Parts: sequence; C-alpha cells; structure tokens
Amino acid sequence: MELHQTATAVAPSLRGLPLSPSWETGSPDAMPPATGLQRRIASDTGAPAVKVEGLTKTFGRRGRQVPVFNNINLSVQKGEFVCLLGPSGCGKSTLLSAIAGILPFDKGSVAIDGTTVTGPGADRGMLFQSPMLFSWLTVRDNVLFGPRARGLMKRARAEIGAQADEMLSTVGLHGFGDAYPHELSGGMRHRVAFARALLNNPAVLLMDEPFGALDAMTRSRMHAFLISLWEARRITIVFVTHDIEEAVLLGDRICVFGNRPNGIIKELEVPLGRPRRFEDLEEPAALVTKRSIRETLWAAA
Amino acid sequence: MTISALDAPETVLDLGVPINDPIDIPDVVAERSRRRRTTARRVGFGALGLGMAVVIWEVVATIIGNDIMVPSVQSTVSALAHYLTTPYPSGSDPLWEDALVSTERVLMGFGIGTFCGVAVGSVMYAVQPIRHLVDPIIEVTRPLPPLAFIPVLIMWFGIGQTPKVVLISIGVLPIMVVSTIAALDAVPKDLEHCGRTLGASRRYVLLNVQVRAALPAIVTGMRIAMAASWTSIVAAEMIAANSGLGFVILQAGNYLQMPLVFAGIAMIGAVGLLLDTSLRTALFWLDPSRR
Repeated sequence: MELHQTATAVAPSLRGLPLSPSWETGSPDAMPPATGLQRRIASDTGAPAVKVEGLTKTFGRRGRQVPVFNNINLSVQKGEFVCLLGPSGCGKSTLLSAIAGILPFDKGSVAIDGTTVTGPGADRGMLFQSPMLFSWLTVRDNVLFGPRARGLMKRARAEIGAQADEMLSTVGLHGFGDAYPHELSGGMRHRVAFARALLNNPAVLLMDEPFGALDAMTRSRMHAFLISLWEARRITIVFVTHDIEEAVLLGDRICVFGNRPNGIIKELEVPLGRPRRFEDLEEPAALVTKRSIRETLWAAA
Repeated sequence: MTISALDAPETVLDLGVPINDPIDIPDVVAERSRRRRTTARRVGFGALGLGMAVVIWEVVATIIGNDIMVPSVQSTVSALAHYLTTPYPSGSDPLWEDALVSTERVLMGFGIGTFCGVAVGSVMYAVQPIRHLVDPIIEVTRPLPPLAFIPVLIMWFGIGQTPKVVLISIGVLPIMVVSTIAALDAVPKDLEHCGRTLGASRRYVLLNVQVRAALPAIVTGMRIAMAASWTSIVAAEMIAANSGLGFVILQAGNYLQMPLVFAGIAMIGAVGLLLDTSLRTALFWLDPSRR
C-alpha cells in the first residue's frame, strides 16, 4: 500500500458530484438544478454550521443527579473538521448524541445553520461505531432509506435513484447496489453508511468513533477515504475519537475533553496543511501537537 | 443488474490508496451460489435422516414382532392408506378430513394466539410499567399444561369449536409474548437512532426499522409456537370431539388399533412439517443472510 504519495488528482467520481441534489432546493424545472453550494450561499447568514450554547446534561442515578457536562459551548464553521477527543466516559459521545437530537439535554441550545433544533433530523447525518445498516435491505435500498423515509421518492424517483448510484460509485461500491450488507467486507459496510448519510446532504456529519472496531489496515484505508471525501466535498464534520493520532490526522481543530464533568478543557488548531497526508503525522508540528494533547489528557486524569 | 467482483471499482484515493482492498473484495455471485449448494445439500441430508429414522423404526418393529407394541412401517402405511378414505370410527370422517379439521383448529388457535401474543409483547416492550405488571402473569401461566384448562374451558365455552381453538391459543400466547419481547429487545438502540438521524419519523422507524428488524426472530418464535399448538391438538380434541386427528388417535388407542395411532401421528408430523416449511420460507424471504 503506497501511503506516501502526495495528493494530486482526486478520483473524478469524488469531484464530479453536485454538492446537493436539486430535489431539495425546489428549483423550477426550466432552470438547471441548483446545487447545494448555491443554496448554502443563498441562505448563508454567516451562522456556523453547528452552534452549541450552554449545553448541560445530567444523568439521574438512584435519585442522585450525576452531571455529564456543564455549560458546554462549541461552534463549528461550515466545512470545518472538528474532533472531540477524550477518555471514555468524558461526555464526548453524549455531546454528539445531543447535537444529533437523539438524547435530550437539560439546559442550553443546539443550532444548525442558525436554526435551533430539538429532535433528530436529516440536517444532521450520523455515523455510529458499527455501520448500522438495515440487514434486510440491499445496499442501494439502504442508501435510499433517507429520501424514502422523508417521502422524497414520489417526487423525484429517477433523479434520486441516479444520485444514489452516483453516491455508490463515490464510495467505491459501484456494482454492489444489489448486494446485501452481510455480503460485504467491513470497510465496504462503513462506506455504505457514509453513502446513506450523505445522500441526505446533511449540514453536518456527526461521527461517533466510526472506525473503532476496524482492523488497522482497513482503518487506514477509511482514513484515506475520509480525507479524500472531505477534500472533494468539504463536508462539515464533528468526529468523536479517543485516538490522539486519528484526531491529528483528520481534524482541523481538536476539542480535548477532561474527565466527567469537566467538558472541553482545551481547544487547539491542528497546524498541518490540507490536503492532509499520512506523512504529515511525522512533521515536528504534528509531534508537538500530539505531545501537547497527551500532556493535557494526563494532567487531567 | 448483476453483481460481480469484476464490477469492483478501481477508484484510487487522494492518498494513493485504492478505495477497495483488492484482496478483500467479496465475490458476491460465487458466495451466493456456494450458499445455494449448501442449502441443497442440507435438504438432501435432512431427507436422508428421515429415511434412516424409518429404517430404524422398521428394524425395531421386526425385532419386537408385535404389531400392538410397535406397529411395523408396513402396517402403519397400510392403515394410513386404508383409513385415508375410509371413515373411522364408522359413520365418522375419513383421515384426510380429520387432518383438515385439525389443521383448521390449529391454524385458528395459532393465528389468534400469535396475533394476541405479538400485540401484547409489543405493548410490553413499548411501555415499561405494563411490562413489569404483565410479566409475572405470563411467567405463571407459561408452564401450565393445556390439559389443565379443559374443565374450565368447557364451563366457559361449551363443547363446540371455541374451547378447542381457545385451548390451542392459550399454549401459543405466552410463547409469542416472550419471543416478541426478546426479538424487539435484541434490536440495537442505535438502529432506531440511525433511522431517526436519516430523517425518518418515530412512527416510520418503529414500523420500518424496529419491527422489521425484529421480524425474523418473531417468525422463529412462531415456528416454536406452531409446534406447541400441534402438541395441544390431542388435548383440544379430548373435548367432546367427533373428528380430528387427536380424536382419531384417542379412539384408535382405546381399541388397540396401534397402526392407526401411528398413522395419525405420522399425519400430524407431515402437516406439521408442511406448516413449518412455510414459516421457514417466510424466514428465507425476511432475512437475506439466511439465503
């Protein structure tokens, strides 16, 4: 595996995709379909993709309230790749679930593109530790789950179907649309989950230790895939991990969590260029960053 | 559309890594035909096993040499062939009609029991207080033998079709409650979350993700319940019946007509196998990983 090659040409299928399907923009038929980029610019209020303000979460345990975090603030700009890094039980996954809207919180607010959200929604795609594919659906039907559940298929069946096929090519699964999840390799299943989340064109992709269960080689491959995907589409990503190396390799910014209930104890920019390469991790700047994070985590423990 | 490893994309990522590990691309078509061959072999072995059981039966019957203790395969088959169209006891129905009558009772009891069991199990899964309230009741009724209910059922429902169907559904209900809850419990919470973050409503996720994911395990519960409903058919047909396989077996037993008893048992086995096969076929379609 040649990991040291500098990024030059991006796979055409990654570049060629429009950033947003036109059925979501409601553009008139006479007009060429407006891309998501245009939509985002048109509706750009300068608001960050994700804004978390004063978020507080406690778990009730036998009448005693155990705080997970108090008064957390987080702002993620459009196209930014933010890593939430910390020891297990520090609240980083809880924060992600709260942003996704699948876990209620006690105080504070979450806003996506300037709009306050309460429940889960298609504007926040989420990837879990395991791909969570629907075993009874083919790969293609898995990818189409979002539009189908949202009732978009009636309006633009052919168009969405074409988008799904294109998305499958993007994630390297061309020709596997009719396969079932159990027939794929581990990395392929994760990429189906990517395609499924991305077909909704979410404002932010929330990732909860998505590669934690993969073997080291598949994991590197998924890192390369994620870096390329981000380069091609500049998705806003919030990525939860407990792996310092992974956070430095992938992120633009790292929020380091202390032990519960301290929340974010340190925020730092990753001083590495884009497009990110594996050998960037051997740069002095990367080593300094990794050491700084490690010392912060150990001091907090 | 066909799937094959030859279609595998050769996309190379920014970092020079091919998107798919070339040695790790599954050959879906080859794997599917391999599975089909395995299934065919499994069916063949199953038939062989049944054949061996019949041979052992015949050997044991020949050694014992007493048609009342252990009827031979031959006398069982001839009793089956004879009574299939001849009424037993005279004036009653032939065996094929008895099989039909029993199947109807079993299917009605099974259907009612399954429907109520899945409904009760789903409600218990969804509402915790109800679960804690109903759970001990189910646990207490579960080990009760169907026979014990006969006097009560006759008092309540008389001697017609109703008590027989109710008796069978009493056996089916707790099995379906327990297996429905277990099936729903086994669906990962993140699968629900996943559906919700893809933009699906709570209702859509409940039906199209949670219940759908639980369906194969529920059908497995139905297979167990189907067998249980056949085990209570003899008890059910002790209630003032004058038709049905259970009735014929009881009658024939009273008059030491052992080949006919065995013929009745064989009929129950055959119909049971047929119904179980239809449930397994449902499972085949519901769960792609079993194909």
